Amino acid sequence: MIEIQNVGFKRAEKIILETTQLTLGTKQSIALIGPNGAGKSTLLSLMARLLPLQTGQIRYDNLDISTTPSQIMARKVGILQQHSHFMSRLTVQDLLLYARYPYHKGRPKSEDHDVVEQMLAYFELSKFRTTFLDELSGGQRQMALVAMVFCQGTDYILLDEPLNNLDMYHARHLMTTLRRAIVDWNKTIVVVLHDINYASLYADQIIALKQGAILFQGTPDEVLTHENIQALYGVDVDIIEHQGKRLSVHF
Amino acid sequence: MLSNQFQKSILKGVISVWLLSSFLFITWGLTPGDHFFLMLRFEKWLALNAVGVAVAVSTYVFQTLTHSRILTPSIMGLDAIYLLISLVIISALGTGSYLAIDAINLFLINSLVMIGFALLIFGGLILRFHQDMNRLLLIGIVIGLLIQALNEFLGRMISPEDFVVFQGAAFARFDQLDRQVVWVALVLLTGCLCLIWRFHPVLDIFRLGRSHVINLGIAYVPMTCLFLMLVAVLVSISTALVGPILFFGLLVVALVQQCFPAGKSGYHLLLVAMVGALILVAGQTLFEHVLSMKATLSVVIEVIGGCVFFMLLIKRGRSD
Repeated sequence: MIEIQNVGFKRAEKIILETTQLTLGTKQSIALIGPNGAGKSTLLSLMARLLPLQTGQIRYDNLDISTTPSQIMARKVGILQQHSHFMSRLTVQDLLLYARYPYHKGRPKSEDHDVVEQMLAYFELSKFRTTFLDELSGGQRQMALVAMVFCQGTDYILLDEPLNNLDMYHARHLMTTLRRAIVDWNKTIVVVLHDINYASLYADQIIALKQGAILFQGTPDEVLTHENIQALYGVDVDIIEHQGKRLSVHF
Repeated sequence: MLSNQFQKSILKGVISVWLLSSFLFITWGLTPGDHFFLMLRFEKWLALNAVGVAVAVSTYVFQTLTHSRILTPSIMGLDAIYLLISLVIISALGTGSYLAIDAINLFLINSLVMIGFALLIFGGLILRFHQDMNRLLLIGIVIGLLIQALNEFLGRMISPEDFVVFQGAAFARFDQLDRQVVWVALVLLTGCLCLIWRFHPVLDIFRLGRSHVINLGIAYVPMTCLFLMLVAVLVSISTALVGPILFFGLLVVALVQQCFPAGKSGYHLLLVAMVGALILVAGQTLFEHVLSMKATLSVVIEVIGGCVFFMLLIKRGRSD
């Protein structure tokens, strides 16, 4: 369970995130949606310890992120941010092995190699094992980065806009793989999404943020209504039903 | 693993050339049994290696911390601080007292002040502007210029006699090393290198970027401070031995990274250290014994290094 209590964030007197309370269950995917600048990435960064907490507390299964040693938290929660710029030229295998750092501390053991092999297979990257990241297509590269977070072996995984710049095939492939991983390994995945249809199809819970505050939250069926989307994005959309799922038509 | 073997053989090649030039440097033109000159040359050889290794390794670590291939400790003015300290001592206490300070004590005082400065200024900057490399680069270069300007200003304030003393410290001269400090410097250098080697897997993660460092459970702030302290000590070692060298570290690290972008930081550290030592020893052998030119090696290194710096700036501008 993720408990977020009284967490807010200000930068230069400007409120980025209003004081927020949030409790998230495990073994599900939670989609954070909302317009640009709504504070989604800030919330995610706070949850991942990348930004210091200014107020409040965040706990994962009663592990408080500000008091638990960082190396223990690194086995509990992992994040993939939007932009990764590496100084080294890395192969997919190198990258995945680095994610095992909390366990091997720089000296990989055979079990670390086993996990990497398992993830390479799971994310269909085995044939790219020794390929350099800069030789991969954008979609394959993104899969490799997501596989990296999974190699970290954490119960909780935070993904900041993983579908950015992905084509239809890779976006769907990534989302179905995430869905499977929740079932296969009891992962809890919090993912920032821009396409609310992906949120509707693949998320168990949707949390909508606007101007740093939670506007609504609930299951896709509960919250994906014409009024809610109108209020969230200021766009007039049609909500249609397709194979029992709600989709928004917004063109 | 073809590339691994290739990397190993390159390292072996560099080490062999280094051994060869070391042999030439120490024995060139020496008659057997000339123990005095042998010792003299040996100490000088030690110092050259210490400088080469210290500059190269400190630059590599510093670039990893700032996540930049352009910034170096000397471009951010860290070695200019060393001169500033000397200048402040000269102008406050006078040349007499400055010269009276034991070289080793002076070296230790300088190292301590530089550690403090590195933590305060660079630590603060890195922790504050880690998301904004361009700003960090700009601020770094401005700080470097500011310290140099301060040096010049203070240099004008002191008497010409004092200034001559200061100048002795202000220019990199590979032919006139401060031999007193060599042994102390070696001990400190060994300590620093051991610590850096101990933590080189952490450097690998630092090369992924700050968010990965935190995400993978490494204490980001303490580790950054530790590395910065080590960098400060390394820079003070090289500055104490030969004076400031602006672009040498950049040259060595750029060369190694350009040739082996896929290397791990363990390999990079070994290679930059060896290449740094090799360039100085081989260059000094060439200039001193073959071309009979003194004190020009630093000029040549600065010109080549300056060109590399320029090229990196232009390349970066294009790729962004």
